[in-house]
Amino acid sequence: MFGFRPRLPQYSSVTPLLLLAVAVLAAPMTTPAADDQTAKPLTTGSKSRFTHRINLYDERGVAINPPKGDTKPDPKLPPYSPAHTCGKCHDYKTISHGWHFNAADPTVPPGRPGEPWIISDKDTQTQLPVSARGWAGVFKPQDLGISSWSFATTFGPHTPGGGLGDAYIDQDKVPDNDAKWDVVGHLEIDCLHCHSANPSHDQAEWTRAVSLESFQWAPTVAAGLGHITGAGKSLEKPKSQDTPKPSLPLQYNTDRFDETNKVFLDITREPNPDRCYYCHTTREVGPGATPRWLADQDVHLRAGFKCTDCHRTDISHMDSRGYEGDKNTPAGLTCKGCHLGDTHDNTWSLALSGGRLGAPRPLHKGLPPVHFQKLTCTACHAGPWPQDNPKAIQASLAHNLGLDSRDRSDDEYPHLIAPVLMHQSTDGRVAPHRLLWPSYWGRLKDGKITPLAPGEVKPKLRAVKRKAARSGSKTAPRSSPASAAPAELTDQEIAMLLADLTSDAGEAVFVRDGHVYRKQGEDKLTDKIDDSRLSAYTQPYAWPLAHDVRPASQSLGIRGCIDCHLSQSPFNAGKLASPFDAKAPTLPIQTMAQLRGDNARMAGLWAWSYSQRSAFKTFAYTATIILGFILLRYALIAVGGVLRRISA
Amino acid sequence: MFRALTLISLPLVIAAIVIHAVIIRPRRAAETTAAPCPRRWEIAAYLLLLVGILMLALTGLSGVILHGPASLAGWKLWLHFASAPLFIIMLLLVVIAWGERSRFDTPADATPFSTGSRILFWLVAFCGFAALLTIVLSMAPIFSSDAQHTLYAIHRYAALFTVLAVIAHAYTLLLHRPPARESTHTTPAHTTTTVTHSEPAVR
Repeated sequence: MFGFRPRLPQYSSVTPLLLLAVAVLAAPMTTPAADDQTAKPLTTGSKSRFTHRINLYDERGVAINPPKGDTKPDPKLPPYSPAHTCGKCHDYKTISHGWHFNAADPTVPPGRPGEPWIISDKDTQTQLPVSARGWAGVFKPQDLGISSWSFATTFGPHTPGGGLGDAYIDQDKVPDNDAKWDVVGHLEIDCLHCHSANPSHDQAEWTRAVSLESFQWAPTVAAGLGHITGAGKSLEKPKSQDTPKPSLPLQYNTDRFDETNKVFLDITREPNPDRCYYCHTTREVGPGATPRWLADQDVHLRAGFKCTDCHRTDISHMDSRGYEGDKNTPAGLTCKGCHLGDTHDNTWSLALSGGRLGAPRPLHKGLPPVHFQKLTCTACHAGPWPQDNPKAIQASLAHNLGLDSRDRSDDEYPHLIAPVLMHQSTDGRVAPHRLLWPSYWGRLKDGKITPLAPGEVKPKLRAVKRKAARSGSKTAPRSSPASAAPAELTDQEIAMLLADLTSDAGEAVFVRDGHVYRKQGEDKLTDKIDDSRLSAYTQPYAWPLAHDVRPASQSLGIRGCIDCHLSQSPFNAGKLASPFDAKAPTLPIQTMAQLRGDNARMAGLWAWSYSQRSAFKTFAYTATIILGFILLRYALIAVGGVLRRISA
Repeated sequence: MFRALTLISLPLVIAAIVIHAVIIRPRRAAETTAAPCPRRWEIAAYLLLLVGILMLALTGLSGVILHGPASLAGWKLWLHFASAPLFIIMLLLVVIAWGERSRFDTPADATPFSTGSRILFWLVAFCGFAALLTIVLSMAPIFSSDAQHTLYAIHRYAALFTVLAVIAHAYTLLLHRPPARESTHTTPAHTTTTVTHSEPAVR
């Protein structure tokens, strides 16, 4: 129609054959882009999704061409490697230093405290927060003697891979003789863990594979591309260099491979929230918990948002955490930025003008602006509604949510509670938090407590219980194996165990519920330890929560100022103990107001004044109206006088 | 800007008063008035008004002077609110009590207040009313946060001008005290009855 016909190159009949030959010979041997640091990323530049019908590559960069037909699992068949498959086009090295993977990177600012890993054990009543990020109140894996291998086997199952299992594998101060990286491979990032749009990609299968130390096979089995016989746990390190490296028999699902051995992977740039929920689910449990079928979803997700609409990133995978002050969150992507705009210097810009993605602009009618200086948006709008007793919470990472099990119980360790309205460490504003009272056995030396692994404590605990039983001493009733309730320990048992655990490395102590207990005499405990340095160990660990966001009509304050400004409101008098914690009355800090360090007298004065607020408003309105009329009269008299003079 | 204005205007007004008092002394003998002096309850109301304004100024402006622009919070805010009823009631009473005698068409011998005093009186009344009105409006669930920022800005400036005006007004009252009189009965405005006062109208 336009008189234009695209010119096609004119080739001889031989040229296509030559090109085909070159392509066939070159393609399988192409060095993956992941190995070529100077290669530009392969992109389409289009907003439409690229169809990933691609070859799979193993850890050597060799294309995987599984035999077709009736085959048996073959230990010689390598699993596919995301680093060498996805890495052909996407900068795997950069991605591997992203936020989900860089906790052990000492050069990365840790930012606001976040959810830690928690070492928990019901028998020893251990719940110990661990994170390589080094937030205040958590222990670093290396400081607990947890090697990269141990971290990968313990916590790797509920990660998308990477981190200490891959890019940061060399963080160990002391080599771990149990490490079998050479046998089972690194715990590479499984990109499909997040970016698969195919619901048949089973994150739970990944968890099961990694928990069995089948590291390099986990991406293959999770994607349903094949299955393995056996587990990495059963593989032993070769006794000599001549002994061939053991492997797991793998059988590919050849139906997934087309005639050219390419596989279609349904991949999305922006993961579906379901993918995020596997690791980022929290649920209420125990007394007062809202049943799942009655709980409302986060309003943003109800509105059709994805997690990545707010938690954005580029290829660096340095995800925006969404709070004000986060270096990876553009000002326009915080709560305030989207809803209100965030123009500091009165310079208008579209990105900072608010109303992004149709975000409604809240009017906050009648709310004194001082609240925005003292509270975060989430204090009123996010998490469970504050009540006198906090909700018991379970989380994916802490309680292995996402894995099917018949053995779940509400009182599993660790015991988390939410919401706890307290000052956040970044800017001091009050925000809702999830909270954990650390509980662990440790050794005290020079004002420092070094926690002990449950594995070190358990044998001695069993010996103490046997000794106590033989001596006829009163022992606490055993918890049944089916119950996740922690086995109660009497003071005598604790004292005996502390005596057994004490060594040259230090005096054994038991940290629990905000106290540090030491042995006093034969069978008594005391928490009176005259060392101010220990106060750091008695603090609860808390991290801000931001979900689920409630609608405006369900925000704190919707019933008026008294939602918070009453002495007995949950904001002030809300408790800090888990409903499953029998030692709650011994907590050194009992209420949210105490945790915040609020002046009780001031709070009482405010509470009293708000009870008089209605009367004061009536008085003030009346006086204002009367005064207004009086001044209006005088003003009119004055105007009349002026007009008379003018006209005269 | 508000902090700068506060830091400049307050000392300026006080300095002007001191200079006037020390250098430009009013000649009291030349100023006599037959106007009735304010009654004791009116004086008491005015003094209580001064106390209320002082409390509000101390709690409201001290933070601005010391720390710069920052919202009032904590115990200072509570004291600020607690002082408000006193200010509201006394302002109302003083306006009712002195409004007629502060009109500009009232003859000089019918009012104990000089022209300058009357100007300052109305400044106190209207700025005080503006400060009150803005806060009363902000307490109603009508105005958005943006509008409340505007209300608070008006409140701050109105409050500052109220403070400045009341300082000057109090000084003018001291300056133009009527001579002592024998009786305290009041006479209607617009009359020129000569009355001998037995005591100062304003102490």
